[in-house]
Amino acid sequence: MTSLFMGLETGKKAIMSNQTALAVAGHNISNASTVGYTRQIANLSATKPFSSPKVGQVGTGVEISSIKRIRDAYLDAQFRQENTTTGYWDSVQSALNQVELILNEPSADSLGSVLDKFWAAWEDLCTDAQSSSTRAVVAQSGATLADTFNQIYNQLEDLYRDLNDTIKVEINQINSIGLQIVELNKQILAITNSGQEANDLCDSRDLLIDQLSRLVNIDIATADNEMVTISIGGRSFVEGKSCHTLATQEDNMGISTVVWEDTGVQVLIEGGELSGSLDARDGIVAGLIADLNTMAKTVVLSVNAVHQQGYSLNNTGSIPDGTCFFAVPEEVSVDSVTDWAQFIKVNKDILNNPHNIAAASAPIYDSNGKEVNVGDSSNAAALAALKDYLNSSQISFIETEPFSLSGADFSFNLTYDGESYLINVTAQPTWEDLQAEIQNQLDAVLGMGKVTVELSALSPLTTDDVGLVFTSLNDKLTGLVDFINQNENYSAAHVKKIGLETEPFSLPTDDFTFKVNYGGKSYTISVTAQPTWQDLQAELQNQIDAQLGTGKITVELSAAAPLATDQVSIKFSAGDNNFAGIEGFIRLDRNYYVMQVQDATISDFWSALVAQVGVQSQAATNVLENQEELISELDEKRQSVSGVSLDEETVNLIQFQQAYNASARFITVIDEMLDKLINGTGLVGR
Amino acid sequence: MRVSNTMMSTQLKRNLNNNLITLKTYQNQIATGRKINKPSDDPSGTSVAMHLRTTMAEEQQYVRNIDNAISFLDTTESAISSINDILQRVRELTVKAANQSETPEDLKIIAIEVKELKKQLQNLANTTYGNQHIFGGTNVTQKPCQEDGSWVGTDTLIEVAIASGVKMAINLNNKEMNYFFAADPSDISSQGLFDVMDQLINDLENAEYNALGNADLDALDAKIDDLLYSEALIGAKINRMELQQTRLKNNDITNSELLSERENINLADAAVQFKTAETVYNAALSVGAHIVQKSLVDFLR
Repeated sequence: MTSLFMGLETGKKAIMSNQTALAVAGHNISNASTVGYTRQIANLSATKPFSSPKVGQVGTGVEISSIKRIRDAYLDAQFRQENTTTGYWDSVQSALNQVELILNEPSADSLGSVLDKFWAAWEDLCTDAQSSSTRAVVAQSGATLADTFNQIYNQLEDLYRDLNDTIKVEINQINSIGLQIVELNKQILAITNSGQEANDLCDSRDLLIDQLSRLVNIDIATADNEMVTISIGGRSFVEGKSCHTLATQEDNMGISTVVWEDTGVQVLIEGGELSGSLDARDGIVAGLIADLNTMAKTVVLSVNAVHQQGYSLNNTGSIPDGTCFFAVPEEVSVDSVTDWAQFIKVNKDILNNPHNIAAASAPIYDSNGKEVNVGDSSNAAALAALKDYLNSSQISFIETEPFSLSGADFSFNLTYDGESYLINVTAQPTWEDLQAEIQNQLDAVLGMGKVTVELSALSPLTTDDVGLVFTSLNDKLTGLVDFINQNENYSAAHVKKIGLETEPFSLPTDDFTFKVNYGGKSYTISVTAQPTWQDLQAELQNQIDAQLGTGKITVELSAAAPLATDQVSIKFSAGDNNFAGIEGFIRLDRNYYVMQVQDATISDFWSALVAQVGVQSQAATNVLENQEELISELDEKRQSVSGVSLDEETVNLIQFQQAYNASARFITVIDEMLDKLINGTGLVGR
Repeated sequence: MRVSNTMMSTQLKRNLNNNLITLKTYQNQIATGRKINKPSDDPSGTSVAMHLRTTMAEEQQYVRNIDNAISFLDTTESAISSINDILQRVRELTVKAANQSETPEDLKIIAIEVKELKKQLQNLANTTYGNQHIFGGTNVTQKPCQEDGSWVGTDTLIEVAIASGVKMAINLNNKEMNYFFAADPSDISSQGLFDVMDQLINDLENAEYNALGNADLDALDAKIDDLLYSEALIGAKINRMELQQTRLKNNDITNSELLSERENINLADAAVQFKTAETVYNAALSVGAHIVQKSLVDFLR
């Protein structure tokens, strides 16, 4: 038998529990829009029952066992990992965006166009060498070219400095977040130790960790006592109640590296906005500045070299007096100068007096001091021809033979900087997609900005006959192996065209002839039919050696033994660039070109550089878009678990209010029972 | 799936923003008329466009060079044709003089006319194009035929590029005209035009009928031959330049088309796409406005 008063106690517990549950629902509704808030639920549970002899267990009511956050740790981990990647691409993309603005291509007043105008001014001088106005135009277009170089250099340099400052700001943010997490860790520990849940503090901490994951790559471990340990690049950054802060260490140029403040050791940073800023500063922008300098150096040195061979109108003697057209800094050697794009300037003497332009390649005055050669402009012509000058710009590219777009995945090897890299490519429906796919794979394997791939054909693109051009702004790209099931490797340096492979054909039964183009001449080769492939190879080799001389071209069979009569192709390769192709061979040939350092004009270099930035920026924008999409998806999933639904909370409000009301009614019942018992009993017989 | 209120509003905001980005892209394309506003819009297109721009700039310069060269050659051609007229007149007079029916007095009168014609020839030898003397080689500032009769023109050529790596001379110099004006310094027997004229005047004044009818006439004919050769040479040069000019101008049209295909939008396409994007945006706005307003609270009393 239970006491009547026990009912009162049960009613009181019910009122209080429902009141608390209502408070939790109210808290959820209040924080429906709070960033980082996790919905909470009050867990109601029945209290320990009262054991009554004969009757059995009698319930004693309800209590709030805990107030819990509803959160999925797995989604958190996923979100933070993707957030780090997004942060990286965000930084890279925003830097590339600025770079594109600086390059100002394609447009009619970009560096490329200014360069074209500079060459054109020299051409104009060719027809009218004695005209002061034509000369002034040459000097001024040189000055415009120099200004454009200066301007792009300065803007890139500013961007470089900005990124450097950004890195410092990001370090401050990271440290500040770390210190806040440490504070929260302390408070959470105190609450956890008293056996309670620090829900709202944990929300604040999770939000800070989310922010931190955007800035830098982090690993998170949570201990049983809810203390969080965060490490960056293998070393703990936040460890319970302490924080190892980061710092920047500046070199004498003011360029920061990120180090641990206590040990001074460099931090291993592999992701997040900080990593993006570092990569943008040291990879993209610094690389572009170096390329721009290479280009300016080429212009300065080649123009000066030609100009110095000429005679100016002010030269009364018989020795060439051409000055440096572009002023060269007074360093010990030109090799010690790096920032060519920064100081490139037209020589003052030329700007002040355009007659100092050395357009003539023979003395202006004869031995009697009479001017007899004012109209000579052959040196100006030589200078204008520099625009076609294939040289020094460090650029290498490989163009594949046109091939068909097929539905099959493939892989090939690329030789870069002496290393061979395997690139796996997934088949794509269009050429543009294929280009983007190969570019992504190259970026993933080699790193951003090493090798650019472009389509070689103009639109419209058919499924057949489009080649790909692999370009690198240095001479490190040296080979392409096994591209689209071609079993070939051409890798010798500085060679324009070094190999050629026929399509497979059947062993011929009749004699045949074909032509080999070599060293500017065409040789007709007559071949006698042979019973085996090996004999045919030997015969081809003999005939070619007889016509061209031994050791010029090597003939090989492409297939390994055993050789069927069908489906064998012949490979011709040469050790130098005299080999210019084969005509009229049994099956049509296809060849690879390997063009290197010498084969780029200054304009080619510039457009390759711009295209490279374009490809990088396009890739970064695409990746960023995908990442943003992924992040929103993940955040949506988190919201789906943790977000407050007003409908749900309103239902809760009604539910707990009704429970509260009913509990109150229950207490009234007990009250009435007691009333009856006390006031309505004990009056028997009255 | 459980849907919370923040999810709805975040998703709406994101989708509206995506729609706006699409709208902005088309708006920018239509406003600028260009598909490629920065390299990342189409990297391979950018690279092609830049190559085309450089090629076009080069070829337009070649066209300018050729225009200039043709004007120069036209001036030269008309000077040569005037010289030819004068030489024909001199030849007529010489043939007349060689006829022994003319008295020595008649010859003296002829000599006076020939002297005037010689002065006229000297003036023509000093013809200018702009302020350049066209027959002086690279010595363009001085009159090639001086007052004292000496020749100061040089035997050099002024060359301009008419295609990548291809140069052509725009002038005809004395040497190229088979030493028409001045004698070949390396050949003692060779005579310049003014030597021939002087000899002729001398023979006229001294009434050397034999020399007039033979040596002088031969020498004049040789000069006229040289002149005809020079005229043919100029004609050939102008022809070649005009051919190249036509080719370059055709290239320019093709290249402009290719460039436009790469860089410029098809306005009709872009406008339709813009309109589609706008419709999607409007629909999203209207749906969003309905969804965000309501919750259970609205229906409780």
